[in-house]
Parts: sequence; C-alpha cells; structure tokens
Amino acid sequence: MASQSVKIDNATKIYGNFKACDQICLDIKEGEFFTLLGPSGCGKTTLLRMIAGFNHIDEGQIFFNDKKINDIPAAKRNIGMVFQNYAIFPHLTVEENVQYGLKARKVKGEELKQRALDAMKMMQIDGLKDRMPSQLSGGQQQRVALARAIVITPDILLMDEPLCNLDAKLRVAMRTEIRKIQKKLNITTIYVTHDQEEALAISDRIAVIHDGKVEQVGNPKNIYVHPENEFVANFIGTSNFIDGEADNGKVRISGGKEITLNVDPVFSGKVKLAVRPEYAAIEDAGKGDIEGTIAFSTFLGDFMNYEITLENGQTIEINEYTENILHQRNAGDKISLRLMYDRINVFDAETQRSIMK
Amino acid sequence: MSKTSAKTKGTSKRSFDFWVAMTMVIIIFCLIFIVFPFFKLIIQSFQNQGTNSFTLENYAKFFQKKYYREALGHSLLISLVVTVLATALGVPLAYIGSRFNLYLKRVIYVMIVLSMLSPPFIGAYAWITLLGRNGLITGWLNAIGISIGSIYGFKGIVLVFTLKLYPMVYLYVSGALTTIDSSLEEASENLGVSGIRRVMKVTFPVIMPTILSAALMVFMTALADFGTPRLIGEGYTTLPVVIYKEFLNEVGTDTGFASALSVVIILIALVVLLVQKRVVDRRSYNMTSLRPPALVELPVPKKILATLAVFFVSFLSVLPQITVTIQSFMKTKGPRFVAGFSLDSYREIGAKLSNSIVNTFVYAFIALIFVIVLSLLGAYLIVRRKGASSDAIDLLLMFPYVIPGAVLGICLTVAFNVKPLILTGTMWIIILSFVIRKLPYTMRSSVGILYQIDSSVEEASISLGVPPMKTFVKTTVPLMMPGLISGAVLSLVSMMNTLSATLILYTGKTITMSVAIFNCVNNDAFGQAAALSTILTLATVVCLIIFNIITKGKGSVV
Ligand SMILES: Nc1ncnc2c1ncn2[C@@H]1O[C@H](COP(=O)(O)OP(=O)(O)O)[C@@H](O)[C@H]1O
Ligand SMILES: [Mg+2]
Repeated sequence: MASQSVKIDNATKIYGNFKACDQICLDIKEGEFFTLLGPSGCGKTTLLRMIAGFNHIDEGQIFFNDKKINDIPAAKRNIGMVFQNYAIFPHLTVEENVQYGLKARKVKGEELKQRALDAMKMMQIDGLKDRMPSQLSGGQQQRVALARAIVITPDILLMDEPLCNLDAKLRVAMRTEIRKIQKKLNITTIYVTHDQEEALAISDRIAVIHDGKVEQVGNPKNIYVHPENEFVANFIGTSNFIDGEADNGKVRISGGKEITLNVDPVFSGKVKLAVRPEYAAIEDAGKGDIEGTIAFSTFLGDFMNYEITLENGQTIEINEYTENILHQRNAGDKISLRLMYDRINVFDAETQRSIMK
Repeated sequence: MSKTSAKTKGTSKRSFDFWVAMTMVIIIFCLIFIVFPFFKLIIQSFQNQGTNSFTLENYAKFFQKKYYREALGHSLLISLVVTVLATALGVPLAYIGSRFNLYLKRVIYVMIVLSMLSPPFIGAYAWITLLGRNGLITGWLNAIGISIGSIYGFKGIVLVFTLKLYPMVYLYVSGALTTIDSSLEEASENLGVSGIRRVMKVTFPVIMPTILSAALMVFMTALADFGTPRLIGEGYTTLPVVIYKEFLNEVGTDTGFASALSVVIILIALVVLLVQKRVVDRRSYNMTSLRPPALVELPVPKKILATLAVFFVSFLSVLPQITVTIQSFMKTKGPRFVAGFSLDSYREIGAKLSNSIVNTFVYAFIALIFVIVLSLLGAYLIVRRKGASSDAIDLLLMFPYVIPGAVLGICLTVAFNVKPLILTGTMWIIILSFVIRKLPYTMRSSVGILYQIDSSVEEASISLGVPPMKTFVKTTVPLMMPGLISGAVLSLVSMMNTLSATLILYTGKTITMSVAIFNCVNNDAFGQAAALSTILTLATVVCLIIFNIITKGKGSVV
C-alpha cells in the first residue's frame, strides 16, 4: 500500500488536570518527513504515542488518509515505530527481530527470508543477522530497529528521538542515512527530536511544540528565518533579544538609533528585536546602530564569539567569521553594532508574537 | 467519550478487557482463598463452639490461663533470643565471607544454602539423635565421664533455630555487602575512620535495612515454627504447639479457641512487621552501586583462621543433613542406630511410605503451575497496570508471607470443610496451601525482573502487529523467564520441605514427605525418618543445581 497522509485534528491528552497535548492540529502530507520539535517535556512523545495507539486520544481525532484511527488498536495501525532506546527484542537474533513483524503478518518461507534480508541489506546489517542484540553496538542496534520498522512496509514511520543515544559523529551520519532511506521508500515519517539542528537538517517540515501546543509549522528555512514568535526565535538557533519601541514602521533601539524595518506600520508599542549572533557586524565605536563594550571573547575555530554589553545594559552574543575579521577586538574595547536589517525579526513585547509584515 | 475516558492506557479494547478480566480473576481468587478463610477464622474466634453465638470467652480463656500466657511468653522470648543470636552470628560471618577471599568458598556457600532450605524440625530431630538422651555424642561423652546437660527445652530450641536461621541473615547481608558502593567506605577511611570503627560507623549502618529485613524473617520463622519446639521443646511449650494441640485434640477439637490463638499470633506477626517496616523506611538509603568492593586477600594464617571460623559454623548448621544421611544407611534396632551398613530403612519406606514421596512431587508440581500462572499475571498487573486494584493484589498476594503455616492450615480447614466448597481431606487443599504460602517467592522475583524489562519492547511488538495478549505470551513471558524460573525453583523447594500447614491438612492418603518424616520421628522410627530426609535433601539439591544452571551461578536464593 502506498504511504498515507496523517491529519491530526484537535488532539488532546489530559493527565489529571494537566494537558500534555492541547488541541494539536497538524496536516502531514503523504511521503513527507515531518518533525515534532520542542524542549523536553513539551508533549512530543505523548503525541507520537497517540498516533501509534499507545496513548488514548482524550479529545479530537486522528486520521490516516481519510480513515479515523482513534479506535483502531495499536497492533492494527500498520505503523513502523523506532523507539528512543531501540526496544530490540533481546531474546531474538537480528534476523528474528527483523522477521518478527512479517511473521505477525503471516509472511512465510522464501518471501519472509527475502524481505527480511532486503531490509537488513538496506540498513547494512545483513552481515550481523545471526548476532544477539547484546553483541551489537548502539549504532548497530539503531539499524536493527530501523530495519525492523521498515520491513513491514508500514503506512507511517514514527521515530522518537532515535539518535539521542548515539555519539555526535554517528548521529550526523545516521541522520543523513535515515533521510536518504525515507526519500527512497517515500514513506510518511513523523520524527521527534529536541535537537533543533537535527530537525533543521532532516525535515521537510517542522512543527515547533511548546507546553503541549503547536507554536509554528513550516519548512526549516521558513522557521529559522521567519519565527512567528519569541519562543520559536529563541528555540531554533540562538537569538539575542534587544529592547526597542516601534511606531509607524520605525523601530527605536533602546539606547541606540531609530531604524526602519519591515514591520507592521499599524503597530505601536514596546518590542523586542531578535538578532541572531551572525546577523550583526562589529564596527568601530560610533559607526553602527547601537554602542557597546566587548565583555568577553572566545575563539571557536570558524568564528570568534563575543559577549557584548550594550549601552542599554543588555548583554548579547555576536559571532564573527574568522576569515572576515579585520580587527581583533579585546575585552573592554568600545565598539558599535551594525544590524542586518533584512534579517531581524521584531516581536510585540507583550504578546511575544511577530509584527513583521 | 465518557465511556472511554476511564482508560488512560492501551487503546485496544480486547487487551483492555483481558487485563480487567485478569484483575477480576485474581481478586476473586484472593477473596475466596485468602480473605474469606481469614475472615472465617476471625469469626470463629468470637464464636462459642457449641452454640455458635457471639462470645469473648475464647480470648478470655487465653488470657486467664497461665499455661497459655506462658506459651505466648515462650514464643516471644524464643523468637527474640533467636533473632538476636542469628543476627549476631550471621552479620559478622557474612562480613568475613563476603569481603575476604576464603578457602572452600563454594563448599561454605552450598552448606549455608542447604541448611537454610531444609525444614527446621529435621535439625531438631537430628540434634536429638546426636545430643539427646540416647544421642551418639552424648554416648561418647558419657563413656569418658563427661555429662552435658539436657538439650531439651529452651536451650535446644534456641540451638536448632539459631543454626537453622542465621544462614538467612548471612545470605541477605552478603548480598548487601557485595553491592554496597565502595567509595562510601573509602571516603570514611579518608576521613580517618578505619578498621573496625569504619565497619561499625559506615558499613553496618548503610546495610541496616537489609539486616533488619533478615532479622524480621528470622523472627517470623521462629515465631511460626511448630515442628522444632514440638520435638525438642518437651515441656517448653510455644504458641504454635498449643494451636496444634487445641486444633488436633483427640478428645475433640476446640476450633473457636484455636482460632483465637491464631488471631493472636497473626496480630503479633503484623505488629512486628509494621514496626520493622517503619524502622526500615526511616533509614532506607537508595544506593546505586557504582563500584562494588573488591575481595581482600588475607595473609595465609589469617585466611586459614577466617575460613575456619565461617566453615565451622556453616558445618554445624548442615550437620543435621549430614547426620541423617549417614543414619539412613545404618542398621537400626528399634529406635536406635547400630553399627553396620544397611539399606533397610530405604526398603521400609519403599514399602510403606512411597506414596508420601509421590504425593510430595505431584502436589508440589501442580501447585507450581498455579504459582507460575498467578505470578506471571500478577506481576504484569502490579508492574504494568499500576492502580488501586493492582496495589490490592500486591498486598493480598504478599499477605500470607506473615501467616504461620499452622494458622493457614486452620484457616483453610474452617473455610473449606463446609458447603459450597468442601476441600478438606482432598489433595487440593494441600495444593492450595502450597500455592498461597509459596507464591510470594515467585511473585517477588517475577515483579523484580519485569521492572527491568522496558515496556517499549512490548510496545514495539504491538506496533509490529502482534496484539497485546499475544505479545505478552510471545515477548514478555520469554523475557521474564530467568526471574520466573529462579523464583519458581525456590517456591518448589520450599513446598517440598514445608510441614506446618500440611500437618493440619493431610489425611492418610494425602500424606507428604515432611509429614511422614515428622510422624516417623514421633514414632521413634528414626531410620525411616533418616531415609526420607535424605531423599528430601537430595531433591532439594537437585533443584538447587537446576537453579544454579538457569541463573548461571548469578542467582541469589534470598
Ligand atoms: N503517564 C503520564 N502520566 C502523567 N503525566 C505524564 C505521563 N506521560 C507524560 N506525562 C507528562 O506529560 C508531559 C509531556 O511528556 P512527553 O510527551 O514525554 O514529553 P517529551 O517527549 O516532549 O519530552 C510531561 O510533563 C510529562 O511529565
Ligand atoms: Mg520524549
């Protein structure tokens, strides 16, 4: 069967009087790599388990294609799931692990062997097929978990922080591989992570989740460049927030100049300017938009990281690529910052929502 | 919506229904076979034997007659003294045995486990054949003109219990000592507290909860045991002995009074349990052992000395088993053993008592099947379906742990000797007593292992298309096997060795080995008793070997 779309309509999960998922609405397209991204405890796993059928959907509905699945038991949803701790069957060999779901589907004989072998080949574990899970490294276990999930040709693939137990290098290699296999199989995938870099690298689209609610849905670039609110700006990448005041399309930086940004001209009131560390240039004193003093500098290879105390008392971080550096700045140096106007997002200080046009 | 909101876990309707059904089944089992009998016991204790009207006279009789008050005093005194002695013996020996590399370690371990698992009354009767009036050692000593005092009464009971029960302390405490985080002790040494002071100030306080649990087990066993005081106590009567006498009185049973006595002994056990729990809870430290302590290699003279100390005590406690094994191959003349090898004792039991051997194995294995099924389902409910009803199951199934065997025997008799469910006289009532009393071993080890199995493994199986019930059978049960089997072996061993409840429940047809041994001893048929005991010990050893193979030598019997 071809891959399916997933529609989540006001899905809510209530524990006592606490809503772990609060009226979540998402439309996930067929074949899409969709990521649920958010800090630990925001409700990602809870939502994923509702889709998988391990958590009861307290309110709302979930559809696979047009079929409502609220009351379909987990075993009948035809889902491939990869668990955070892999959840390999420790008493079965690699091959038996991969065959497990096929046997449940009454696949037998040559077909059983061949399909399991194909999946193991795809995950490059066919050489390990007679090993017991205890004889595998973390990365290999991860591959078994994935082979076991895709071998049943699931309608939907769910992955809950599948890479978080691997070391940094392996994590990057594996995520590329997961992405390639997903595209090859063209299988609708819902992927959970708290690692924004991983989410940006791997996803077609991302839903940023916070306190059980969806904050923003969009493709990685969109979310990075145009965060809809302060939480997203802060959670995706790093942002410095500089106080200011907006009126009539102009923004006065607290302790600095008045500049023209692409904001809603109707808005008037206190705002915050979200400035990413690489979206401001350091100039000699008096030449930029706001004055400051270098408080601390750290050499990080590709770039220099400066901690800067602004005229208005706020402290921010700015990065400068090593190759672009004209003057080495030292602690105590008076400098001025020039903001890159087209890359700055402005938020209503009160509602924390974006006021960009 | 309102119909489904109650279930928070597991959306599958069928699995939901199955586990609810299982919860009901187990709770009904507990109600019929545990709660109802105890309820009936309590009611009986307030009933006049003849008229069945409400009365307090059973309790009044207990507190008015000096004989009964004395029995209570004896029971408490014995249990206390034995608890203190067994702890005082077990803790230092465990320290030596677990910290220092001794000679003959395996041998010492086997001796200790074996003596712990055998029925206490075999110790009593074996010591009688050694140190009693006609005892072997008594004879030797008399021949050279030395007279040791009588070992009957208080002294004998304390001797037998201490040697039989300190192994429990030894095994519990060794377990704790080998998993304690050694950095604690090193820190103490660093701070200048070392040697014996460090042991007293750091090591023992840290393992105090374990010591207290072991002490509780010792106290409960000493309080509940009937065979030992009955055989070696002579005039020194304890509460279980009185309970038996009242309940199995030839001139007419006084069920009401026996019930009142049972209630008294349960109350004592409960009070002790609660006090111990409070003390333990207050000083329970949650320790994750980062680095267990290393074995210390002693200089040879000290090593010999330490080995001798541990070996001597453990040898003493296994001496009854050795004694009866040797005796079983000796010629007998009446109650006495005479020089010369013979298989007569085995021939005699083969002719007269072989049904007790068959019964023991049949009952124990049937009971084991129930124990395994109940443990699997019960453990799953307790661990995976946390909630009020699973807490109730946990409590109910563990409750019989504190009930003396004799009391359980009385409970089951008074509950199931009338319609609608008459079980008395059948093998089923003995099997029932086995299941109820020995379930906790398997239950505890099953719960323990299930806590170590991540539930996502089960979920992985479900999401791969295997429905919850089938997943339980195909995945959860195989993963629980090691814990399940090691608990089951212990349940089996202790079913085969148990005496107290069976002694009340058996008839000529349903006699078991330990009852047959007890009867032989009572009838001075020491040769047959020895032969049966040897077979029982052999069966125990075989089970332990299986246990060891299954747990790959890593299992612990406590
Ligand atoms: N079974 C449960 N009972 C009560 N609270 C729960 C349960 N499962 C999760 N929660 C709570 O719901 C919130 C979201 O949990 P989770 O979905 O696991 O977060 P995430 O996966 O995003 O880290 C957390 O605050 C967690 O404590
Ligand atoms: Mg999670």
